[in-house]
Amino acid sequence: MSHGMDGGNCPAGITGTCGLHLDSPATPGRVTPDIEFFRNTFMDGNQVINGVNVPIWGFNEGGGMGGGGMGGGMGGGMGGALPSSPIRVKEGQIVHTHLTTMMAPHTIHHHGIEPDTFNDGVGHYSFDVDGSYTYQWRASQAGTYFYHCHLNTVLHAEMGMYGALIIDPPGGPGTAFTGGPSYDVEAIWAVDDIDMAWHCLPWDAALCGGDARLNDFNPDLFCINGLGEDLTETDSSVAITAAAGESILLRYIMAGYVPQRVNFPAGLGDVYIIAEDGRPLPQAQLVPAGGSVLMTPAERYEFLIQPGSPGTYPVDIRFYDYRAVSGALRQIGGIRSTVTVN
Amino acid sequence: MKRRAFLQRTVRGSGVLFAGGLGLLSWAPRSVAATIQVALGVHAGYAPMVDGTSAYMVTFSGGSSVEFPGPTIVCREDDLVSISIQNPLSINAVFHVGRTAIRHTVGAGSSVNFDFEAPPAGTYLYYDDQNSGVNRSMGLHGTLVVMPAGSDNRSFSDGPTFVRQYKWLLASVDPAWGEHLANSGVAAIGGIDPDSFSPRYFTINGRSFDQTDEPNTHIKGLVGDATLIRLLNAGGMVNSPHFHGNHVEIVSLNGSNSSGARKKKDIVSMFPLDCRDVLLPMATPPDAWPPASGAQHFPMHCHAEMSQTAGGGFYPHGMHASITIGEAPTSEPQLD
Ligand SMILES: [Cu+2]
Ligand SMILES: [Cu+2]
Repeated sequence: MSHGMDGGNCPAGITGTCGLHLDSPATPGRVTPDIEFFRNTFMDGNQVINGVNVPIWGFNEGGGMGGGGMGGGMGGGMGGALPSSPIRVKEGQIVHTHLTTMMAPHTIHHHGIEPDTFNDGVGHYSFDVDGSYTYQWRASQAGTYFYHCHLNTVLHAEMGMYGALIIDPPGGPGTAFTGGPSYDVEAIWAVDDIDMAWHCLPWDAALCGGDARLNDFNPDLFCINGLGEDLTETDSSVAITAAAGESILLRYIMAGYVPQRVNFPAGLGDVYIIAEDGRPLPQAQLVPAGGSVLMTPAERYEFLIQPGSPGTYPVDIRFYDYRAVSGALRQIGGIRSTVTVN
Repeated sequence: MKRRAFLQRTVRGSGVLFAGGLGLLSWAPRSVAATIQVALGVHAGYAPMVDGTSAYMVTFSGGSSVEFPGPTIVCREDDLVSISIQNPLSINAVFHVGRTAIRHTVGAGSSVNFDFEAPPAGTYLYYDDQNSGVNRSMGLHGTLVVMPAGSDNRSFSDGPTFVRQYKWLLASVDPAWGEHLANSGVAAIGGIDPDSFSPRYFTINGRSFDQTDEPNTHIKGLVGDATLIRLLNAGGMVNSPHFHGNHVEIVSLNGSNSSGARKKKDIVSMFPLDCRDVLLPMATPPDAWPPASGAQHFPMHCHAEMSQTAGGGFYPHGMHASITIGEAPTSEPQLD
């Protein structure tokens, strides 16, 4: 392991390990998995988002470059892409996520997955991975999740150390969950906010105390699956295309730090929330035509959309300052994608 | 007039149990309604922050100095709550109970006494609603818990049963606002722009992690000990508490009670002034393989990750508390 490499010409080096528990233990009760994933960390990435060259960190698929694929980042430069490539499994499977940390320690927390403490990826309750570790868990409930680093999380998740995590029902994609609705078209959106002032800080910024202004977040760049507003309305990795009469499942991962509101245009008709945070709702919840949903960080929503008539419909997402002493939310940005019905 | 027993509510500085455990007595089932008497003062002064600094705050307190957050008032439906407030400061203070018409002003340098009938069973924030949220965010807030009459294991009459209950009162602190008042006098509070809020400390029950590791805030229970958590956001930011280990069921949302099948979440959105009661099933972590045995330890932290810092860094010493599944608490939690 080599410490102290540059990420995007920003020092990612490690100087302190305050409060960390560095280790690379064997996996307790290790069994042969039904499916496995390999993730290596990188801290020297650069991704152009809406024309801005953003230094990024993340997880590569083991042995090579990451990115691409459903829900995975596009347009990643050297190092890897934001977001990291998805983990997709079936309900009931025993999963191994093999993490190898390059450059500096990190962890993987499978967000919404509830394994034992040892496999939860939170250093303060177990250990931070310095070298390698195989997380072992069993997927108990189909739904939409994500995974991210949980070390100095405030900085590491912001730098892009996250990816989608989908659990399909035992029969595989096409049905949201056992007993749930089927779908013809699937989209995964990880919607994130970026404050460029945070993207040139070291791995352990203020971990031992001191002021790195990590309390002060002012995003000036917004993205869906790592794409900026120059591409989100047209790029096929985000923009949704369906035929009239088809059902669309939109898996929405709120990957940012400030409140987001997604606004569905009236032309798309009624939208139903069928699941939240990886759990089916007791009853599908109607978002009436033209309605919107206000979200807070790390929520996930599964939207079922059944558009009736052909057209191209804009879906607007607005971002608000997290500081709201008066209760009023102040909009600070937005991004748009589209649903095209043929 | 209903017949009521008379319960003297003795309040005190933070960190100590109520004298005589009257906090517990006031929500244990009893045959008659009571008058719950609460004496509060309005105080300004420095409160300790987790990194060894201190922040100047203005608070309701049960003692003679600043107390962050203010005392928890526990009563049951049908109780009469009798409050006296002394305000030695040079500014008016307001005692308002959210979602109700209860609102009383205490003039500068004076005192008031007033009574109110307990509102319907649930979780309420009491706070000073002046200056577009600035007074509340400076620390003038606390919790009012109303238990249903005749029950000590539900939060409303047909709600789910719990084995124990906790309160997590969330707040966010901007010490620059406090310094402004310390330097210019508390009367300067009216000139603070609510949009200038830049919080640097993030607390649950007035504490940042790992000072949240105390019996009223660190949640513990044996497997199957369903646990009610009353979440309130008195602070000035949008929080997003995330539970590791178990999803929670949304029991009540700002006074709207869910009696049927409940939504399960690992994120509980908390906008300023929100009061949300959730039920933690305290189940064995469902995705563990092999199945978990022995006590399991998890964080609950806000996922608006700025809240995981103190003084601009020092992760994770922010809005974060621990949950232990599979171990009973050594002393039962109070709602204080
Ligand atoms: Cu990391
Ligand atoms: Cu998370």
